[in-house]
This record gives sequence, C-alpha cells and structure tokens, in this order.
Amino acid sequence: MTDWAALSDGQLWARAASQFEGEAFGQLFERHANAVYTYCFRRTGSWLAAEDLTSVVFLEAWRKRRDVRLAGESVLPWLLAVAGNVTRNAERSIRRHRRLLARLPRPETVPDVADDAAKRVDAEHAMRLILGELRLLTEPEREVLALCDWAGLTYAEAAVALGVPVGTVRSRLARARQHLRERAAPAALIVTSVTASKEDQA
Amino acid sequence: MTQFTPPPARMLPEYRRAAMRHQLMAVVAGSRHRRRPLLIAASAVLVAAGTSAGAYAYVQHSQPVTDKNDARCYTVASLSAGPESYTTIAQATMAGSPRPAQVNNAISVCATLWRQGILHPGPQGARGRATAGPAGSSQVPPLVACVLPGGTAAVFPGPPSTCATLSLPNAASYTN
Repeated sequence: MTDWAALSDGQLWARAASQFEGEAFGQLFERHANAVYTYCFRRTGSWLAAEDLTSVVFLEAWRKRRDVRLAGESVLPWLLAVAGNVTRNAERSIRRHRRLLARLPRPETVPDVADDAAKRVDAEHAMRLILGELRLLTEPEREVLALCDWAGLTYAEAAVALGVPVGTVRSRLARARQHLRERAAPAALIVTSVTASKEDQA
Repeated sequence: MTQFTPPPARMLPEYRRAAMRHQLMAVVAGSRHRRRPLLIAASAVLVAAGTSAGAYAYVQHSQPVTDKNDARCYTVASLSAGPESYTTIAQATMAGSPRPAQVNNAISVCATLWRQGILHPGPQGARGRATAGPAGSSQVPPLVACVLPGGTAAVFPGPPSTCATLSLPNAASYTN
C-alpha cells in the first residue's frame, strides 16, 4: 500500500503525469488547495470566484503538466504561478473549463453560518481596498508581492515559479515595496508591525 | 518598513473541496485513455520480431504482463523523467475487430522504433520523430521489459538489472 504522505511533490507529480495515477494528483490537490484558494482570493477579492478558480488552477496545471517547474521538491510555487495566469485571465480560464465547473456543487446549496458569512464579506471588502491601492503597481510587481510577501515564497522559489532570475524577483519586489512606501495609503490599510518575508528574516 | 497585509487565509469549503478532488482524479485517470498511441502495423511488428538483435531481457523478479492493450517504450531508465521520455505503442486493430489488438512483444516493437530513429537516448528522447540517416540504421540499445503497477509492459534501455533498480518486476512474458 502506498504511503502517499511519504512521497515528495515531485514523486507525486511523476506518478500522475507518467502513469496517470489519479490518486497522486489528488494528493497534490490536498496538499496545496488551501494555499491556491487563498492566493486566488487575494488576487481577485472574491472568495466565491476563488473557489472556482482553485479548481481551474489544478485543471490548468494538469493541462500544462509538461511545463511543470519544481522549486526543490515543491510544486506549490509553480501552482501559484499558474494561479497568477488564471486570475489574470479569469473569464477565459473559467470558460475553458465551464463544463467541468458546472458539475461541482454550487455554493448556495450549502447554508453558511451567519458569523462566518460576515467575516467573509469583511475580508472581501478589505481585500478589494488593498487591490485598489495596488493598481499603481505593474502586474509583475503585484505578482512578486503576492508570491513573496503574501504567499511566503522565497525569492528563489518565486524565480522558479515565474521563470525569471532571482535578481529580477528581488528588484521587482524592491520597486513594489518602494511604491507602496511612497504612496500615501489610507492608514487602515497599512500595518506598522511588519511581518517580514522569509528572505527578510534570513 | 510598512506592508499591505491581506486578510488571513481560509480553508476551501469542504463540500466543494471533496468534489474538486474527485473530479481532478477522474480527469487525470481519463487522460490515459485520451493519449494517442503510436500505432504500429501488425505486419511490421512481425518482421521486426525476428530481427531485434539488440534487445535483451533477463529474468530476475518477474511478473506477467496483464494489460497488453498497449505498452511503453522509454528512452531513459527512469519513471520520473516526464512525458517526453516514453511513447505508448499499440497494435493496429482491424476494422470491425471487437477488441483492441494485443501487444505481445513490446521489446521487439520498441527495438524497431529505436532502429528507425524514432526514439533517442535521454529524458526527451520520445519527443521528436525520425531523424536523418539511412532508414532502419539507428543503434538499438540493450532493452529490458518491466511491468508497471497497472500491469502494462514498459521497455527501458539498460542492463537486465534496470527493472530492479526501478523497483519494478521484470516482464515474465517478454523474456527472450
């Protein structure tokens, strides 16, 4: 019996891509679905859209499985890069997989707890304010900000995911942070007790 | 420095998570049947079967091939080199045949592909098509047939110990 937990992402990916083992891909989904879901929300400001886009990200990852790039043994950075492409072209991505998405249970069929629903709405409101502020950044700058500062990837992992040199990631992130510092953003959006990225802590 | 901090992470709702997982697993498993196999004419295989001088196999831990609908010819002795490291072969089926023809000698068929320059050594060796050179003159490496977990034959370049190295049983029905 296979000990799935003992297999690395790379091993799971190989079993899925070369032997078409559905369970191997299911294991990868279990490992990374929440990270992809949260990433999609932070790029769109909608939990509902993020649910569908999470499914689309994994479907797209499978469709593009020959292009996979592992960062060490982790496939998450590449999945987040796919998520970046999917969220940028959300309508087209959803259209491509609409028949599969239509077979998933719809959100409204399950009642939500009122308190949780309120938290979701608050989070969406806050996220959309942040995304509005980030419009002054270029898309590549937003992308490295989301990957490194929000998703917690290292510069090297982000570089592998995006297929660019580490120096490019570093400079884009520096520019993004500089723009944000210079921007007189509403106080409510700025946290002064900084949570540094992994690179900053190193 | 200051930083824009997004709302905290959340868990994907369980009822949709389970459905997505199930759907993805079905998509992956279904892709196996959508791959277009490289069809080899039965007559060509019969001719090649008698001329596979470069093909070797050796019985170590062996197991019969239970799924002969197709087989794989790998260009590197690895299961993790990616989808361009192998090609899937299947026998041509006569029109009106009730079921797929069986691949009964995968080593010979793979040797033919090597000889014709369709396969090349390396992790992307099944990517291209035949290269220049006299037809049928390419070198055939030593080949060994193993059995994949699903019961399909997989023919790798390498010494007889290759199957054991890959933790696969030798293919009992393909040993010459």
